[in-house]
Amino acid sequence: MQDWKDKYASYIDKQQSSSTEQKPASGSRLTGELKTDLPELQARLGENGDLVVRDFLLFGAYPAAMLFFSSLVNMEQVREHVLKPLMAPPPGQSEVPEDTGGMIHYIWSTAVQVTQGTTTADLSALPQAAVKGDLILLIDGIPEALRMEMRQIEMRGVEQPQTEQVIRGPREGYVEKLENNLSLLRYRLQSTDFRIEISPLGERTQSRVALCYIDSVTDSSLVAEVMRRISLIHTDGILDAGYIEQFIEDQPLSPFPQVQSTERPDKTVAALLEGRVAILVDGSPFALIVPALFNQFFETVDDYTERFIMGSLIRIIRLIALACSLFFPALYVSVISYNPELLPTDFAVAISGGRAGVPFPAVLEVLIMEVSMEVLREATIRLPQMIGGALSIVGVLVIGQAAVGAGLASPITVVIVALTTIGSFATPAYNAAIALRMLRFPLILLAGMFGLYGVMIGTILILNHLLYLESFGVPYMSPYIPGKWRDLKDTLVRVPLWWMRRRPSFLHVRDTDRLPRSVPTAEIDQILRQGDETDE
Amino acid sequence: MNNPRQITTLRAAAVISSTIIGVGILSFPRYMTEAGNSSAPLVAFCGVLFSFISYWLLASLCQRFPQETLFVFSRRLIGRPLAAIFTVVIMLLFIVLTGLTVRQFGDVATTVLYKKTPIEATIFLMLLISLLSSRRNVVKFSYIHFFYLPLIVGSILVTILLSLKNVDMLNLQPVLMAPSLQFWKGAQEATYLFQSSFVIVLLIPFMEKPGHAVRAGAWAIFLSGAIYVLIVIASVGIFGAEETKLLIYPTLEMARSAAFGEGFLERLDAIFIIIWVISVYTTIYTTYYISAYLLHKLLRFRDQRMASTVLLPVMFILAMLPSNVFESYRWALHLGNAGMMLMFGYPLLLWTVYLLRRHKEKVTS
Amino acid sequence: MKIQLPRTLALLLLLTIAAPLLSGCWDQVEIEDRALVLGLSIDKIPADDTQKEDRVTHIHDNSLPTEMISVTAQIAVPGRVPLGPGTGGSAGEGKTSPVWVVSVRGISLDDAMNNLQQQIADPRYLVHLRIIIISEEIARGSLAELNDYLRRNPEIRRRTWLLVSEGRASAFMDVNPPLQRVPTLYILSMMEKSVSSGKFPRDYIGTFWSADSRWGQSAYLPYVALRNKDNILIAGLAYFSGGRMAGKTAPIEIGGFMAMQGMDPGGYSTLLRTRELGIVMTKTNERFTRTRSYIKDGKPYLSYEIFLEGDLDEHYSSDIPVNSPQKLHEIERDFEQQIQTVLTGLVKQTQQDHSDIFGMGELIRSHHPAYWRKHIHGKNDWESLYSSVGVDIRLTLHIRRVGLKHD
Repeated sequence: MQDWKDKYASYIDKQQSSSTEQKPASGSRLTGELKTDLPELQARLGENGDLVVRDFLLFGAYPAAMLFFSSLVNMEQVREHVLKPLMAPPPGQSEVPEDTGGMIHYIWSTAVQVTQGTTTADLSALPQAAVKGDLILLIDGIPEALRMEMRQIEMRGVEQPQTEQVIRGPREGYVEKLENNLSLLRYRLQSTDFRIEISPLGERTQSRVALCYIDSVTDSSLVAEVMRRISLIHTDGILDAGYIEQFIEDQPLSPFPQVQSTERPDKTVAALLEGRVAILVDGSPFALIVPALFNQFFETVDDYTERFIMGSLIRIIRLIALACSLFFPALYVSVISYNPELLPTDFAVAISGGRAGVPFPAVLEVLIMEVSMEVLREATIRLPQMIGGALSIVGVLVIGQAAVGAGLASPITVVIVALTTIGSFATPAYNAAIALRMLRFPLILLAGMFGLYGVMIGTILILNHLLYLESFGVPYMSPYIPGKWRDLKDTLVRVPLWWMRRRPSFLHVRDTDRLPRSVPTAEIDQILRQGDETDE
Repeated sequence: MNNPRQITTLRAAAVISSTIIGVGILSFPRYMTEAGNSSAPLVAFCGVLFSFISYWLLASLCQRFPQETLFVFSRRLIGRPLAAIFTVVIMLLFIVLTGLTVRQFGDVATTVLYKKTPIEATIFLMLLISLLSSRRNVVKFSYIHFFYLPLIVGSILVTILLSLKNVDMLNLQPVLMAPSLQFWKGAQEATYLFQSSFVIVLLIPFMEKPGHAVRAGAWAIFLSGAIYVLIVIASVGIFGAEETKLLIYPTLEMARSAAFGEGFLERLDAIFIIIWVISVYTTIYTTYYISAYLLHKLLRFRDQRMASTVLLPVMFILAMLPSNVFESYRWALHLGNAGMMLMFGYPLLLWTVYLLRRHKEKVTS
Repeated sequence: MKIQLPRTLALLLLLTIAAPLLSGCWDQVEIEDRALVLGLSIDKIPADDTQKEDRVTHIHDNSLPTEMISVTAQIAVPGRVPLGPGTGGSAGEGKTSPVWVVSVRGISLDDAMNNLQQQIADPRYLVHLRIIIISEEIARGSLAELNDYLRRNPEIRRRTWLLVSEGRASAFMDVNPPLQRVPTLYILSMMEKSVSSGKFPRDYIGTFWSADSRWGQSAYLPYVALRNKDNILIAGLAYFSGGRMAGKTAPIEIGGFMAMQGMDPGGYSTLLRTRELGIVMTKTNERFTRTRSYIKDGKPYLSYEIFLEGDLDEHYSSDIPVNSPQKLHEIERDFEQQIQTVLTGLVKQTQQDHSDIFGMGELIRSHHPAYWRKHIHGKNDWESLYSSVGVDIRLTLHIRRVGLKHD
């Protein structure tokens, strides 16, 4: 395994040379020369940390090589049932036939103990077989390769993700072991273009860090940039993906997360397909996805697995909740203490009645309630679920009621604070929700100082910050800013999947089309039209 | 990714129009009505046309030098000292413009919303956020305008739509009037609002297609012009010409007499002012940015941050100079006159020199 | 990408320096600490009763007007109006009024408001002022001062109702209607509902001001009267000329006025005696008016064509059946004749008082600008010319429905 710095250097070299280098023609056949076939095959599979190439002497006499992905097969079984019999001298002193058919037949019938397998002479079919989990055996002098199905993915301990539950969608979440996580990814993304680069990081922990991307899709300068930033990390220990996030983000002082972290392999694969880069760390059940944009923090898997109308509506509701959690208390304070003319007259009269006995100004009242709500949330979040539920009921119902009864808060304030808190829970990404929750406090203070004008100033400051922010060279507010019509298909509303034929342009992907252009839109239209006809 | 030419034509248009829509919308209908009574929309429309002509003069010249800003190529055309003088004058113009704009904003905010808040605090806060944001580069500058423009236009349109049902067509008739001195003066006053379209000078070197500068300006001026004309139509249509002349902020009164759902949400004026804060911010941001940019180029500061910080106290003091509303409006009118002469005269001068030089080159070759 | 820590620290420092300058909360007044004035009534004080003034805004009143006004304000009392839907309890019924009625006097409205402030603890706010009632006496005097104060004050809504009262206006502040907790809000909802049911034009103070400043139109206001101590009656239109109230109309003439203006929906029913079918009542539902203006012999003429659609509401003499189109036509014909005289009477009346509430001058101004520029140089010019304008009214009624009874 190379160091990250060397990896970065060699990647840059390769990117520069690849433009001149010609791609090998597909459909080439095996030559039978191990010295040429093996490098050719390796070249086609690309740099992969989990690719194992084992050369040995077949039956102690013939040079041969075995090639497989360690993340997809059980090494123990390979050793026991394939490697051991193949390396042992031929049983019963019988002659090993040296011709092509004979040799393969001999191995198949006497040596290896696998259930399924085929032979092929087509070199271009082999990479695909390897990523599927086949074990490939090349023997010097024989122009055919033996494919043996050894696929076994370790799924031990895979559980439903705790922080990102879905209603409809896969229930698998990452576990701590890197191999398992990588196999969860490879199992979903059976593509030869899928690249995983693994290197250790951390002076003492030597945690293995995996960088995943799809070679033919992802912008090479993005991959290079991520590698560069990772190579600059100097620390003694990487214990979680969160450690890496803090080293590679653009603006450490910003309250907004510029790296997305997820527990879900399906989400990771979706991001990879869009042309993003994922970073996994051994020992952490979270993957980091870069670049991360503001829009991503209120998208969930359900938006895509559900039908598009529902998905879009729910997204809009989530955005409303987000706005509520940020602005509601500040607006309330400024309306109550500065601009009561905005309320309908009878309501204003009634509100002033509700607040009649409260000793604090509205700012203080709201701040006290908001802080105690945050305390309550923080207190219950780490408790076991049974106790947590009970405590939150006590907190919300009893304290709220008592506060009103004791004249500490007006009933409307309790309603506002409750709405805010609920609103902030509707943001799917925990770290983004926290950012917005915290930004609400300066807004309340500004509202207390300047009323609506203060809220507006605060909003302009927050929005400007968001507009200035970048994540790995991509403007944070993409695709709204800089706007491109075609990228707006997956923002506030999500258009049907069959309409999203192209990848987001702000990621500068190499391959802008999700589908090959050969699949014409007309075909889809025809399918739709047929659907209409059958309806009639 | 580091391509400097990132500003699309659409975004350039957004910058210009969100700059133009600013502090003036509140009192604009009054000026127009004073000039043209019920034909106020026509006056406003003529103003828009004039501003476009003036803009065209400037932008079509700049288009011929797509690599440089006006301040760079003017040196080659009319010589270094003269160009420097003009640049200084333009900078002073924009500094004063920023000061007076923020003052007019402060006047409105303290009269209508915050009677006890000192005007200094309101003004200082507004200048502060402009300062903080004018430290960024031009691309980010265009992002901001592009993002806020829909908010500004949308809120103004909603206010207008809510008011439209109260419009009495009789108030808008007769539509035409014989052009008199008053008429042309009104049209001229309307062009003052469009002077900040000068910002295109900064954008051209960063535009994806510098050749589209005139087109971007055309979209922008006609969008913001349409908004202004609509505002005039709505407020004259609702109040009538005579009443509009009496109101110091007719647009605000328009928002004030509109209601959303019978009596459910009244007093839209407070909400309107709050959203108007954004449009004022974008306007002040632009003029501040131009001033800071020019100061930074003139004094050869290492970056723009220094220049923008230096400008803050200057603008603050300028904003505090007028002693009352009438004075600040009068000053703004004088400044508009001066600005118009400069914005019209300077490009004209440059054009003449440019054409002469080209002619000479042709002759010599 | 570079961590610009020092710069950000400097920025934070700047902000912390700015914060004490900025933190002021100058305008912060909690809603319950504001004395929200909901309604105002303004009366003239009889000349013999002007001795008592509080001298809050001035000391020597030699150079000031001698006439004084008395202002009664209705202020919401926090806590008396319960939050949310009424809890139904009859606790303290009638005893604790949700509003506090304060009466002060002063030379001008602003003067009176300052005297009022001197008397109550909380700062008064007019942001929720919804109803202003002035007595007829005030309205017949000049409203210029009143309008100036109200226009200048940014707290006043343009959708406030300005009403002219028969008798003392302060009596309206003491009504205690059972339908609403707050009396002013009752008057407000009464006016709003009369607009939506076609009983009255949408005539807020803003509309009044606009009409008042137009040269070719005179302003009008709702004229209200008190019946049985607690009931409020819309008793007609108070129309103005030269900024002073010039006269008032009967309630049914509001309907006539709205018909001339073509204002929908129609809300008035008419009781009339027909020649052959006895007494019937018709209800107007929709109104549409076409106006034409022309100049003849150097004098403006206007023609109004009014189309009404209505129902047959009631028929007194049930023994005569109404069961054919001809009979409906008869009713329509009689209606047209009778209402036409009503409308002509209304126009005549306003012409005598020089009050062009129909905005005929605006029609002339917009359609004959040349004539207008030549003859009219101010509001007075038109108001004096108005009395000699020729007006021609034609009325058509269509009865669309007769109800469930066949004959």
